[in-house]
Amino acid sequence: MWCGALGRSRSNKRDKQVVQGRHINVEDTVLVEKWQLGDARAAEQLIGKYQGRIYNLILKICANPDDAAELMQDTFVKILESINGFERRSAFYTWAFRIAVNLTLNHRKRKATVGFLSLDAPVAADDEESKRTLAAVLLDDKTPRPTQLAENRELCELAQKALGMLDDEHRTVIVLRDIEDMSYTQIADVLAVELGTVKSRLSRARAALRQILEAFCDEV
Amino acid sequence: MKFENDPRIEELLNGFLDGELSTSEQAEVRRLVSKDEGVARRLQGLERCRLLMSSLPPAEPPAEVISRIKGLLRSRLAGGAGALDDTEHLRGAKHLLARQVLAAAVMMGLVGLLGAVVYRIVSPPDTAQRPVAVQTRPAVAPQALPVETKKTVAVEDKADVGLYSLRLATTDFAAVDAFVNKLLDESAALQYDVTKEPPKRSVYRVLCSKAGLSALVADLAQAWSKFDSATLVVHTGDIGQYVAVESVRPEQITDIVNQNMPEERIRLAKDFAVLNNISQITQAGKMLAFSDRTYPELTAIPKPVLTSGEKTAPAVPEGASGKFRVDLTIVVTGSTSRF
Repeated sequence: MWCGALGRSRSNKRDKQVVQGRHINVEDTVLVEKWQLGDARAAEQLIGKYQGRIYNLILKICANPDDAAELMQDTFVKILESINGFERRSAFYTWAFRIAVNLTLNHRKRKATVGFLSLDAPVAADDEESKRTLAAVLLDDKTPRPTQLAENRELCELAQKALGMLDDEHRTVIVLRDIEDMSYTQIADVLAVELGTVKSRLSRARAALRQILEAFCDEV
Repeated sequence: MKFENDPRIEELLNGFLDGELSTSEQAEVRRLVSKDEGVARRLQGLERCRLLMSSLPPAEPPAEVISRIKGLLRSRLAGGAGALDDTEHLRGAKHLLARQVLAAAVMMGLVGLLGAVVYRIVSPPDTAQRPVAVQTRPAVAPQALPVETKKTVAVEDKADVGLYSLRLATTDFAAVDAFVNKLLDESAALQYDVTKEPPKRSVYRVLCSKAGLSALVADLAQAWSKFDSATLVVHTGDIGQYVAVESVRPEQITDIVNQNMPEERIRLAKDFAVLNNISQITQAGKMLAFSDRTYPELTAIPKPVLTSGEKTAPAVPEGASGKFRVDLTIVVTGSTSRF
């Protein structure tokens, strides 16, 4: 049955240990300690490790490459200014992600942009073929392979459009969970909310995303 | 099962999908899925959504931003805390701050300007309309007296002294002069000097209080009919400036002298001068009646009303032994003599 593919365990738990319910990356902790002592190489290692993830996190939330570049720089400037005050009670990357998310959401509030992509903007994927593909992905019994999905450019554009139609709160939690593959505890750390809030918010976000995607399929 | 409306089942399905459930919760979800086709479809839909999102390809961060961040890092670690000051980011922040300060300054300036305009509109009238205290100038210095004197007089506070000349012309010089001389001699409330200029001119310089002058004028009034002319000169305090009240009557003199302020004395003297001149020109006696107090309300001088917060100088009370407030020169001449 289809549900046999569910509930699989995560394999990326290497180099992680749980401290008071939080995942602390030992390697990151050592690098942060060195950075705080003035080790430039350790600092560059940490930045290099997370720059791509932070950029993509910001880009997925704010949807504008120029803004994302600016916000990424702001995030790292903030990290550079605050690293000596970082007390290592949480993982470095959840702390860094929290800075990035806060800056991005504040930026979004200031700009008061309606969505990630304008609904009136021409989207290459708005053709019937890509929508039929989307319907097949959502409804077929056969589970598609992720690589197949990633290679389908039109399908990705439809998915991005649907993501952009969510509100900021729902989009952020979807990005953190489904794209950044963060645990609920980590998401709670990043968003500074309770674990129960993460569960309910993610549940509502996925329901909303599902509705948007199904609406795309109904247009065919 | 109406699981669509049950947020707990939704959360359970999501938790199952994300591997966030305990063993017992996972067993519960498996049981639900096996028993309910709708729940199974719901779980499948959630999984497909998650799969779709996780398949979104990552974007490469701009290389120039990466190199800028590394440059910041190097300058920060090499140059200490101030190294970031040279970065474009902080320059932008400083520029923004400067603009905010400038905007605040402009706003404050505009508010100040607006306040000034509003004040100009609603402020009380200018001080020109306020009957306020006026600092009196020192009176004209007393002229040197001739040698023939009976009493030595001195004025200590010239600023408070009203300076007057009363010129009396009479055809019966000897009697009138003797009368005046006698009045002054018998009055204990004044001091005076006298200069006799034969044949028909006597100059008396009298220093007294206002009350003393009133008493003196009341006594003089008994012989007023003997005067061919009586002129009161009220000195303004400015050298060479005076108001001459011709055909002055005793009560007019008292009224003028008893005014508290120099300006009031001068104003009243001017009014009486005009009034008396008109009375001389007209044949009717009505105008004279004004000065006779037949119609006192017509000549009554209204008291000044304080219309501002600025206080006038308090009136100086005069005691029995009060200061000399009046410096009066009485010139008695024969009618043909000059003053």
